[in-house]
Amino acid sequence: MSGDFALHSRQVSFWRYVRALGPVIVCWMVLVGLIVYGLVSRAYWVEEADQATLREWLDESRIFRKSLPELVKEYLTLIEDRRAPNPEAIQFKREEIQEQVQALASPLRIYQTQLPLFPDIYRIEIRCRPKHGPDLEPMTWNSPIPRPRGLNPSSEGQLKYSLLGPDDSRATMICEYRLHAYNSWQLREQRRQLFSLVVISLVLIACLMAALWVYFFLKRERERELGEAKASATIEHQKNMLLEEELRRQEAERDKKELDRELLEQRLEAAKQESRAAEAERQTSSLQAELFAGIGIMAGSYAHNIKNLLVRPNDLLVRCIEADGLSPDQSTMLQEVQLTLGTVTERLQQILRTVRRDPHHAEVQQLDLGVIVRGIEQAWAPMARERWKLNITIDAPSTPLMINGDLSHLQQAIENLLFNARDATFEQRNHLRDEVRNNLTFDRQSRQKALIESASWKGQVTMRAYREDTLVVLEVKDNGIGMTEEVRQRCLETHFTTKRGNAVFEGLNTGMGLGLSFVMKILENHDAKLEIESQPHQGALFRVRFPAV
Amino acid sequence: MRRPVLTIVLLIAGTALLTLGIVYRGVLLGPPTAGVQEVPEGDREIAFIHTSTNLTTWERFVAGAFLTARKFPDLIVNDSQAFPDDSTTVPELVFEMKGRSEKLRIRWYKLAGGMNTARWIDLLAKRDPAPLAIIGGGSSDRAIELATVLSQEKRWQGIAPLLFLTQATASRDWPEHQENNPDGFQSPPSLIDIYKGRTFRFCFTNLQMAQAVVDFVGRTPELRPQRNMLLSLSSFPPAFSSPWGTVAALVAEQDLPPPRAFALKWEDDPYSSDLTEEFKKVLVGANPPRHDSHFPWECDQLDVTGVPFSVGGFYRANSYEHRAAEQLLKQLPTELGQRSLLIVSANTSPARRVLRSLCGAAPLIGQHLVAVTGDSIGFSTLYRDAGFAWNIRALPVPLVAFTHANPIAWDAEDTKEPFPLLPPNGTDDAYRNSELITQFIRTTFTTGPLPDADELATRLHQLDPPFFDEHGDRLAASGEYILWLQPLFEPNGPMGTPVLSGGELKIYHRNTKGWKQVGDSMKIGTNELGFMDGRGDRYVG
Repeated sequence: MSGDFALHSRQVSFWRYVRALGPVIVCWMVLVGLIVYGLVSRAYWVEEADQATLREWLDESRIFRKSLPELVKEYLTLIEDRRAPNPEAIQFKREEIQEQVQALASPLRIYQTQLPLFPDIYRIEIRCRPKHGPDLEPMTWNSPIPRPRGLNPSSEGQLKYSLLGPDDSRATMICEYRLHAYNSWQLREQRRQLFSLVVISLVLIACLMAALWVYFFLKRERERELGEAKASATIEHQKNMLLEEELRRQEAERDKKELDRELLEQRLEAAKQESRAAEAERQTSSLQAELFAGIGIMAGSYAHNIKNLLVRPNDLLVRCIEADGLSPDQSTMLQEVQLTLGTVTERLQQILRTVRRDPHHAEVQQLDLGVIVRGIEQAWAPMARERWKLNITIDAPSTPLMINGDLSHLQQAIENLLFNARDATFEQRNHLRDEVRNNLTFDRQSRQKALIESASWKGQVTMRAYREDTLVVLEVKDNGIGMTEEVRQRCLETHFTTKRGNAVFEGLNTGMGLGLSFVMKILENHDAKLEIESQPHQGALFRVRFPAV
Repeated sequence: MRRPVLTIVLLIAGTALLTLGIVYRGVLLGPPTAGVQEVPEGDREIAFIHTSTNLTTWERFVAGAFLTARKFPDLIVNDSQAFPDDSTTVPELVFEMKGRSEKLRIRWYKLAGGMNTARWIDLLAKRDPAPLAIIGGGSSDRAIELATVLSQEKRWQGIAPLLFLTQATASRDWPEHQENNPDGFQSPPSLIDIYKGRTFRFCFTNLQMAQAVVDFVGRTPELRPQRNMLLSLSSFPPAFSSPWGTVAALVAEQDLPPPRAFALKWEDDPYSSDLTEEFKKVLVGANPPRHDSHFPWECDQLDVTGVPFSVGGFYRANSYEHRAAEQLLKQLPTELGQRSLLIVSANTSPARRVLRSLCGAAPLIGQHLVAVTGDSIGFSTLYRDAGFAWNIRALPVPLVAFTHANPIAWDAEDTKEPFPLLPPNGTDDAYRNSELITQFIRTTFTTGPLPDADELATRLHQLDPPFFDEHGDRLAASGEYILWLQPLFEPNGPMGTPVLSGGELKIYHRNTKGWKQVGDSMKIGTNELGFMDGRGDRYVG
């Protein structure tokens, strides 16, 4: 394959050269041919000169007033004139032509020795061919002088041409002659030719040497140029490689810078986002702090006022108990009232202590979560059973479940969870009632029955505490309305609530969206984790994992 | 790649330059061909159409131009292009007059094989402007051809040129062999009327020449045809010193036949035919020369012998000439004292051949014969070239010829003229050309601007003194010259018979009083050693 390719390449290169140089070389060859033709013609100038002399002599000589061509033309005109043939005139003209030829030739014999420059004429013949009719008998003049024996044929010439011109072939002139000697000239010519031979030989040798020198010079120059070209190509190739490498490196650097820039931008963006997040968190914390501070202030104010208001009832209640005349039932009821007021007062005292502290600055101590849970159940279970139609049950081991925490905060948080569960049971009850009301398939009795059943539905809240490895877990589970997934994910946000506007439960509460966020804040301060599991109408489970102590 | 291409280009360029050089030197293409040249604005041209082989005629024309310049001091003749190197280049002679811007250019358009009269006229007719005039007619046949071509040419760029005849003396265009075709023969047209109204002849006509020659011969006793010797002796008064001698001569003359005249006519030569006819008209026509004491000869018969063509050898007559000579010898009266007139109306060569044949057969025929001719045998033939062209020993016949101008008006030997007129060349050609050029100058430069050929014709007709008749022919009696070559015999030679001792050439000129010899008689045919020789070959040292 490589051989075929090389052959094809050579052929293509050859034809490319032919196309490129062909016209020029052809022009050159034409010019050289022209010169050669002229020079070769000139080389035979002796013969040409003799023939030119003969032609001039034969064509232009006028023995009388007319040249030989004119006489021959008149002769042919007479012969070709068929309308008025004149044999006598034709004969006169023929004899006149013969006389003209003889008169032309005679001086050559007379002055043969005096006119060496003029060729010796041996024979003159005129052949006539009229337009119509056969060829005429040639008019011939033969020299009476015999031709030399052994005459070199090269020195004898024959001039033959159309006597009436190139366009009229009716008459042909044939003149046989001997080239004149040019003796003196030939001697000079021989010397000149010898000299020319030497000069031409020297010139040819010089030209050959010059051509060889030019050839080798061109060859050497070509090789040198080829080597330089190769070296230059190699250097160029290396430069190109370096440049390409440098280009690739620059591209890599540029990509790296681009990536760095993008990374920096991302970092910057992240930092900005973090900054914004931190700012938002800071603002949130500030808002929460302010909120909690405000809530605490208000709660403290309310608690203080309530406490102050309870002073007089307590005082009056003590006077009533201490008064005489009370029946035992009355005394018992008053004592119960006194106990309740005492509990309220204690709660108010706890509220006041709590709100007077920053929730971020808890008073951490080791606490038994079981104790806390049982305390809350004892505090709220009666009210829940009687007033909220809610059963509160606890499941806590007797063994301590010790954690580090702020008692007040934890009580608030667990009670918030309890209250949320209570609210959920309220909503579940309302839901059940609305379902019955909205169900048109019920007849009246069935509807009343269903309404009664829905009204008698009781909520159930179970608080369970237990140890799980290194954790202490508190679960608050209810059978309330439950949450959708969206609500479950957003329920910890501050001010998010599902109770606002429709969650008035016997005038006890209105949804502010603060409860669970407050719980979450407290749990964060206790390094606790909160998990929520819930399905709509399936209740909810709040699971809190405290690090165990 | 670039270097080889450059080498090839340089090689081709060098070859091309070499080729151009060779071409320029005429190696390949030869000399340029002849052609009609342009005429510069304001200048006028006269075309001189003549054969290419006769450079002498042109040289004589140029000599005539410088001869003319002697008459006009303000005339400038520029001959720088009159003799170019290349024979095919058209020679040019330029005339200009001081104070005049226009120039008169006379150009020689050479007749050769490829360039005949019709071709030149065709080229000249296509060129603008047309020439003022054509100078031609070196011979009568050429003049007839030229006049015919001019009369047929209608494409001139402007006014058609005039035709100036210099040497064509024939009055009519005689067809060849007319005597062989008597049926339907009509009077040939007049040469001057072929190109009618535009032809001017600066030479004398054959009729004028015949009249002059016959008048001269008739008035010259030594030449006058006669019945006998006594009458010839009458020209020598001592012979009539005795009354008896006179009576005897008169009685003898009455018994002899009258003098005869013979003519040889070459039928291929219009000049010969016309001259023969004009001689015939003069001798035996309606108005022959009057017979009185001043012209005591009357011819009543002219025997004409025709020769079909003029071609022949130098001395060797063609067969018809030889036959004519034999016939003439049979008819020629050769009694003692009888002298006949032989009209040889031919050029030098035919005349020489016939007379040579006659003399070869009868060496003393010259004692019974006077050869007369027109202007075809010139002074140079008889004097300068007497050694070979007209050897008196080979042609011992009295000869009377005509010439249009004085042939011996030579300059002084120490002349400084650019074209000196020195012996042995005749001066008649130069003076005849000078006469022609003089009329050019008079009509072109000595009056107002010459607008065209018509104005030139008008001025030529109005020359003062008049030079042409109403037809355009030159007026007679305005400068004829006669050449008389007389062989000299010594009556008592070594063998007791007359011996030719040489010849004598005399020039005569006619004025109002008759013929008068010009200059001295010139001896012909002998040199210092007494051998026959011409005058043309001059030896130095």
